[in-house]
Amino acid sequence: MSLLDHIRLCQSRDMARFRPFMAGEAQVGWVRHELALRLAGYDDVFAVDDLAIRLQPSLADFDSRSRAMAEIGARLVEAGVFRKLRGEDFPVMADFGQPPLFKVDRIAVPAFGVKASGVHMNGFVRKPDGLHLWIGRRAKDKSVAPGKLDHLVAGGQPYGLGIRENLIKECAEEAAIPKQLAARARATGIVSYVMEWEAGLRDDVLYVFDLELPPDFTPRNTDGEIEEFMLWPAARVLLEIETTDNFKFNVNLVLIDFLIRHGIIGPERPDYLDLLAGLRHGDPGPSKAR
Amino acid sequence: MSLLDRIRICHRRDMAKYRPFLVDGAAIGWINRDLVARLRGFPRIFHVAENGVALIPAGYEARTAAMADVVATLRDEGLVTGWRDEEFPVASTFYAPPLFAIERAAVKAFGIRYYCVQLNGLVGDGEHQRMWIGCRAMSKPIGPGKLDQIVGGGVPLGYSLTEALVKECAEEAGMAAALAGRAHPVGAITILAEEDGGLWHETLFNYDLTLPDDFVPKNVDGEVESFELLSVAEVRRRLESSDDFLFDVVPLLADCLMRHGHLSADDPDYVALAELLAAEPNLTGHGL
Repeated sequence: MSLLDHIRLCQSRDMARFRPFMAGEAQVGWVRHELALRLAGYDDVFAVDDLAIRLQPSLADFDSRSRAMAEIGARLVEAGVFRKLRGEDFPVMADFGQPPLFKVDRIAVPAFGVKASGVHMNGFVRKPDGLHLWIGRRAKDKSVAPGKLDHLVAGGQPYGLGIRENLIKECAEEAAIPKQLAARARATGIVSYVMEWEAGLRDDVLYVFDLELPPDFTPRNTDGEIEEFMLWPAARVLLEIETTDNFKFNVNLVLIDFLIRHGIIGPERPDYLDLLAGLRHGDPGPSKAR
Repeated sequence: MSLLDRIRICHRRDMAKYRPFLVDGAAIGWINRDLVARLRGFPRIFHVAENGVALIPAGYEARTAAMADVVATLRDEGLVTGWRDEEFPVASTFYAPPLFAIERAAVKAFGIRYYCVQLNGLVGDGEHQRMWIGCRAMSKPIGPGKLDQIVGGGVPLGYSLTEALVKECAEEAGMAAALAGRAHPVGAITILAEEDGGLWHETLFNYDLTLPDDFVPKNVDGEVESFELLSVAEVRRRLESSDDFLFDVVPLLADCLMRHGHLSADDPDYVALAELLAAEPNLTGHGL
């Protein structure tokens, strides 16, 4: 797959299949029409019309909304719409950087098309022959992208944790990176995309961090989510992205961003400006109140 | 003013005032109502219609010659100022062969997209990183006395990006080619802003260069009055609290601060800022 193909994959959606999900005056997500019609049956929680699916106005604060959505989650598991709850709460907000309006179980995030974010960290080593990146291989039993190549550290952004705080936690859990070393990670920007997904819509922001590691550092997975780690030259990483789909779909984008920032992908490539524009394209469309 | 608000200035425009400038059916620029009216006076060169102003001559040479005549007339009438005697290529994209060349002073009047190479001159790394900042000469037609990156300039006709960068590094900062050649590309930012009665549709290819501690830039071409080595904290403070910087340099410096980890991911504006830095201007909308 070309670099642009990886980006297009993450930016592909047909918004005509969705209607806005509203909480009060704020749009907080997108729901497929079929699911919206089904949810109309839960009229203690939702008011559904042709234009939108809304939380009932009686659900006016964080706690009542979160409780109602937890109840809906349990009912959707019973109904077989969700396989099982993930047991991890994600914040729901009108826009990134704004305070959460309520929280939902992670399993409900794509079904309700709510914004979600994660932290992705490039672990790199400067060697005499250039930059090298630590690459992980995801365990075969992961629910998303089993066996695919991944970053040194990556994880979803749960409710109640700061972004840097979450990164430090994930560093310890996924790669046994001590806190002191993890604290040297630098926030370098974001990658964002809106992607239609089997279960709905992913409206994602990935907070990108770079951590330069000493040559003698070797990561070790502690939570069973990564099978092995490999240290690859940047050129090998680029070749793997351009010629295979071995990396997890969204990891390709974060790596392309890294390779651009470090000058390994340069403006002599005719797709350079399209790559840059495609890496941050989080706006799903004009019907959204942005 | 927040960084976000300052960068929004780079997307301030009302495209309803403009008509597309068409070559072979493709819009390669945007012309405001007043100039459209004036261009009706060149009926053998422009076909003026509701949906746009089409350039009639065909072929690179004929288009370049016709536009040179028009631009010379507009200069005599005071409609094009700041003559540079430097030609920019005009094409449908940066990577497409040029359709014609035009005097640099005229690109904003015709809303033609142009391309620049810009350099962040960095010293050190991490928390104590510093940046060389230039103060533009008072004689510059654009932004006299404003703060700027260490080096920046348009990519003239016939130059590759690297050649243009090395040339600007030598002229503006007295930098040897071997040192300038160590700069590496870090991205590009495209803005579309209405400013000083013209349309700034520019793509700024941005580079980083970490300079030796003992390097001191020395201006050669008279375009920079002085240089100052500022801490990143001071750069940020001046970006936010003053309009000392030329407005289109603000996104480049914000991008530099972000890429080097000087902005917090927990800042509520972080995502909006990052997305605005990457925004492709919507040519039919109203901007911000």
